Amino acid sequence: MTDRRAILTSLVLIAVSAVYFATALQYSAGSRAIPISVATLTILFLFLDILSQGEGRVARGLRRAFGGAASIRPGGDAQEQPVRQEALALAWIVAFTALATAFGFYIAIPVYVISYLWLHAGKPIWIAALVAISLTGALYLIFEVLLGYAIFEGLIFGGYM
Amino acid sequence: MEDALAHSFHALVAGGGVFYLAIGAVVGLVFGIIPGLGGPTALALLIPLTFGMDTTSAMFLAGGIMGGVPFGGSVTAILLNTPGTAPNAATVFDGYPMTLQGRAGAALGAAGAASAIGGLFGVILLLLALPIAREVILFFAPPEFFMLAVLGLSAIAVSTEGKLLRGLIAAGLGLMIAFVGYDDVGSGTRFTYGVDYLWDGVPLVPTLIGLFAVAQIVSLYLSGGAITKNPEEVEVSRVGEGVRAVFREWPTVLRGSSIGAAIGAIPGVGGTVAAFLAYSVTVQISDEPETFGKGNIKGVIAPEASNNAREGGALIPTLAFGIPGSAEMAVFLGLLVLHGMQPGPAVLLNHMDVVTSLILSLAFASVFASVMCLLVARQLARITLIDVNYLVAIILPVALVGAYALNSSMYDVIVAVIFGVIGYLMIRFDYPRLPLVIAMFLGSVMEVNFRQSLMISRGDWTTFFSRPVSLILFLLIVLSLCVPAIRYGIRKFREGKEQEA
Repeated sequence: MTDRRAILTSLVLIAVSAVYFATALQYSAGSRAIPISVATLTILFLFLDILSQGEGRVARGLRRAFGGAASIRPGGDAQEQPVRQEALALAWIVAFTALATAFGFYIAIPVYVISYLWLHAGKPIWIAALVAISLTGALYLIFEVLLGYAIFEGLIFGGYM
Repeated sequence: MEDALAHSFHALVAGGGVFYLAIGAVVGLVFGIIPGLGGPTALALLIPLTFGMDTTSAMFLAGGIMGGVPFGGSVTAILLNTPGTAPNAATVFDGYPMTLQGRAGAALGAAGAASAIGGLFGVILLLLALPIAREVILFFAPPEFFMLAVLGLSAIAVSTEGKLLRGLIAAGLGLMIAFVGYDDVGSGTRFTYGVDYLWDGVPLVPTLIGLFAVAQIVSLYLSGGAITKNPEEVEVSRVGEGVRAVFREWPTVLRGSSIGAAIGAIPGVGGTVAAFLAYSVTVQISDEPETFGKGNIKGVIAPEASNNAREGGALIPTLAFGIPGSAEMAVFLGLLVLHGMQPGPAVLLNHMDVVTSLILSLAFASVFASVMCLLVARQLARITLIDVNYLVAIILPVALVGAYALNSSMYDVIVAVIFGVIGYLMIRFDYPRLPLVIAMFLGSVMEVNFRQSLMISRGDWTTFFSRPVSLILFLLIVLSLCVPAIRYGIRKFREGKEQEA
């Protein structure tokens, strides 16, 4: 992660915290005391995080005070991944959710599993179909039969969000 | 206590507890074996399934998972040089060299036996500590609970090694999320922005499923491939040799277990520190320190005993004060909430049967998981040959159907997905997830006790500093926040001394 990305992330979070702070001002004194304190401290920490980027004296001093806390280590816990790959990973999740919302889980699961394993992972279609049927069947057995839940049937088929 | 134990034992033997325990242990082993999944993901996925169960059975299931994960993680650490969970990293140092020497079975045997004994040790410590904890919490009033919640948060933030600022930011964001919904003390709703769904607050379980299961799916998707491609790497034999070594090296087991249980009881310090500390102490006091890192079986025994003993220790602050010491414990608190129990003193005072069920299940799970894993270690290790694409295809539907099933609400699914994205972005941009989750738990505790303290003292702020226990807790908060700077100073001082020398 570059310094610029770290600063951008902090700026987005400052904006979110500022909106939260402004919202808290509308509540009674008792209701807003802790939220305002928390939002203020969070904004302060975010500014310190921005200031601690780079190699200037202030940045080094802050890193010293926070035990090296704010030093940027490229990638952090996760390895650097192309943004396109990350977007694709998130797109699969969003697509499955959209499909389940529209058509229900019992249609979305086989469609998702087959298309993911076949189109994305390059597995033979019969294996993808086998996994899809087994998973759908297992979830039906566990949730509908054993636990007695009614699984969402999709907005198109009259499901209620 | 005795009645509760008898009730739990009856539930275990006659009430189907063994079944749930076995399922939990198997799931725990599998999730422990697969690097990147681990206990929080397993628990988050299984929480929805426990909704229809009675609480005792749910505790057996959870206990099975918590008992099974640590040993599962050691299988890949020993066989493949890839720790299944972070605390198993210390096992790699001597476990993998043993595999290279053709002693994988002995290493697994030692890890299994040490895990079982360590787990039992932690549970015994928990049993001994609970009566004391029950007495101690009676001395706590709102100011103490407020300070304790702040201490829990600061300890967790500080424990995120090298990321104190990011930890504090994550904790702040978690608290901000915790205040969404009905005002627990005043009236009306807050921060709902016109969305009726948020009146009850941001739902906890879908949030946990998102942060741990869905975020992990994205990471697995990006990693791709199989964990190992060579079936020969997972050969196992001579397990008995390792089991016998554990009984021969009982001081190492005892030392590792004591360190694990003690460290586990401190919120935020975590299993990784416990395992590495147990390993390093064993090396330091050994007569032959040069043999460590080259396949010394004590280097497997110490961290594994510590790793399992930690679970019992970590349950002490979780059950007594509602302060989870780790991500796994935070998700476990979600399970308690789902079953109508408010984490904290009430659990210990009013639900002792649930607590003892959990203790029993942890004790049995440690032994059960170890024995079972030793029997099927070779087959279990083959899980690492599976292409992670299958895991991505399977875990996502299971996670999201689980998120839906809790309240039959697709909004919960959307929340899980949103928090999955947030969780992944946190991993990506180096923000620890644990302070956020724990802040979501502690937010309400913190605010309610803060406002109650001021009501009782009629607005007198000195109430937080005039009571001895509260003052001690405050000083501990200040001290914990100074830890990184102190650590940095000591490191610089040592470096200066070394340079002089």
